[in-house]
Amino acid sequence: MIGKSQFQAPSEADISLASFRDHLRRWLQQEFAEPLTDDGHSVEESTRHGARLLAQLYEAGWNRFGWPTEVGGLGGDVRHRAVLYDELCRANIEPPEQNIITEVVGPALVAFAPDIAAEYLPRVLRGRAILCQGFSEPESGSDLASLRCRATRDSAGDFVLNGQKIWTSFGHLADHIIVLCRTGAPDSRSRGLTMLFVDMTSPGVEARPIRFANGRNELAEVFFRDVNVPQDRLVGEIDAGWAVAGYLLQFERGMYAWMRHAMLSNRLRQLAAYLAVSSPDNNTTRYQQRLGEAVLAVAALRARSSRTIDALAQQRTVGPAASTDKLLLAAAEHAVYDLARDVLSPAFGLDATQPDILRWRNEWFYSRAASIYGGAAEIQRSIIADRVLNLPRE
Amino acid sequence: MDIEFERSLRSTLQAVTADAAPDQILYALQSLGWSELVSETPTAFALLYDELGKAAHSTSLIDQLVFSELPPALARCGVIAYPPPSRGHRPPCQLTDAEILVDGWALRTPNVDDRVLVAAASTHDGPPVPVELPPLKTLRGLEISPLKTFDTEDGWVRITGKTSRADTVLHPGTATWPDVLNTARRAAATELAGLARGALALAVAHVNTRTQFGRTIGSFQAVRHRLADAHVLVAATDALLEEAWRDPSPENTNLAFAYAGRAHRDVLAHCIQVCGAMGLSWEHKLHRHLRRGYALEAFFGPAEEVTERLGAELLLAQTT
Repeated sequence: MIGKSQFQAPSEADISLASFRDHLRRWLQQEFAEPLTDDGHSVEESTRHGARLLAQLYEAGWNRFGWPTEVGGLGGDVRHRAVLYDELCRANIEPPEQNIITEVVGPALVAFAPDIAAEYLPRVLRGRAILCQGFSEPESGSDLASLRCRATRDSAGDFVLNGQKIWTSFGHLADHIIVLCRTGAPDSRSRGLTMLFVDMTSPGVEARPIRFANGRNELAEVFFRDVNVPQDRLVGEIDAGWAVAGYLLQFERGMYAWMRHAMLSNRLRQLAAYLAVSSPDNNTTRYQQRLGEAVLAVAALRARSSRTIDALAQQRTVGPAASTDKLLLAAAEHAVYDLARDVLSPAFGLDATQPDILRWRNEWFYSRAASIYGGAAEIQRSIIADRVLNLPRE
Repeated sequence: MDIEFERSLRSTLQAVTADAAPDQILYALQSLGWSELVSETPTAFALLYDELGKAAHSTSLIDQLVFSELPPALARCGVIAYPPPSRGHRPPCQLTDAEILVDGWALRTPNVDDRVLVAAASTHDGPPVPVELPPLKTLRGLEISPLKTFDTEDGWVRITGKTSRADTVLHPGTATWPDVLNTARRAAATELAGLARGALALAVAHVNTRTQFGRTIGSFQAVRHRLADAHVLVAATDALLEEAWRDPSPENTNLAFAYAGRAHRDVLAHCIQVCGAMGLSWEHKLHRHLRRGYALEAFFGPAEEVTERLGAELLLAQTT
């Protein structure tokens, strides 16, 4: 099936966004006559679905646009990646779940560790490897600069890593982890942090899944005991890991938010279709107002994160303004899934024998984390108060 | 529009709106070459409405965006009389063979020389279209009565009565009334964003100077987070407005308007709370930001109705 399509990926010379979107849309229509979703019951199955889809997209070339040629890409910029998520969701194809990390860690590797990026990103884009990121620790959540996972140098100049990370998405499934660790004095705060790229199969690395409140293994805790990390696995400079983390978070605000917006738009359409077509009682008008509110929340996220993606495409620094995107993301997640919970009641709360209901329930639970992960809403508000509104410090 | 040009245009607009009386702003702008500017750079209107909002000026300049987008033959009008606000359907003026039955609301009192633009439909068919009445001084049978809106207690008027159809100019096929309303709604949404932005600036200034418990109150987390939330609402409105000015489709306009109306309401609630009793005094400007915004939101929306329609349209799209 693959390769026989009459709608091939556009050539490198023709990567205008409109043409890319147009060709991609026709290719998806031809390749996927039916919606393609995983059942959403386990992260393990979701990432397998993602891997199959990535292999297919890579072979046809679609997910290589937006990445530099050095890492297996075909040129273009982040906006091409944004269009891919738009079109996948529009065609009812569940985007690869592991890409939420690829989109965030990938650009940091390209910018700060081009050799590592060239070696590993092609595998990731093909669906043959999964990345994860180790930032939070049991004692360092919102106060990330207090983290204690420590890297020292051995006589050969390699790093020796000791400590623990937690709330690591796909930690137990990933092949590599990007770890923010302390190389400076214990009280060096953000000045003494370094980013390392660590092979999860190294001796001394142990990842244990954490069962999330929805029953899925969304997250993991990762332990490092005297883990040898070759010196060429350094991402950026020694003691300059905070800058790498800051760079990476711009993509969390931009690309991750965009991916979620595309998925939320799709979920909202599914919910409206349920109300319009299959709802057992005639309660369509009851939810018009809240559907409208959810449409607004998703539209605000889209408008805002499209600006952020334009800034990323032009390689402008996004800065504290991105905290706005993060708060709009949480608002959109809550608006869509709280509406779903109410529309699907009472089955949502009482009867998940239909797989579809179980899926909504799982996603609703995960949406609770939208105002926590990647920097809690309270932290975002404080950043805006300090650095955008210039209010007096607390 | 590049950043340097935008900055200089904003400072000109700020000078004009600060010095001129609200009913003189248009003349002041025209003497500076406004018509030529907006024919080349229509988004200059966006800056104008933003600045008017920031300063909480009550003007009828929203009409000007509509005139700028109508065929030149209709653009000699001075005032628009919009269909009276009501929940749901807004009845246009009715045309019969000899007469026109007028009922409309205008954002300012027309002068005797003004031609009034109204929405009119013949009793038989079709969507309402913009119709130009001849100068008011030539018309018999129309009554102009002041309205007590939340905005100001003078300025907005209702024009009612039955008058001859002779000399009215009907331009069917040029623009429909929904086009007019779409344009006015985009202008109103932009002014709402300006009103919210201006209110937030007043609140930020207040919490930076007001001291209680030996601290400026802007250093309390409860205050800081309310104003951060207000900022998020203003910034999101700006992003939606940018799309609506780039592509003024009804969908983009309705999204921007509904969001702007709801954001204005919530931003004002945050600002009023952190400004305490002072913000609720007549001499504080905050109530003007609230009044003007509520009136615009109710008149060109209401935002809740537009929001509900967005939901209804999403439902409809699933069945067709």
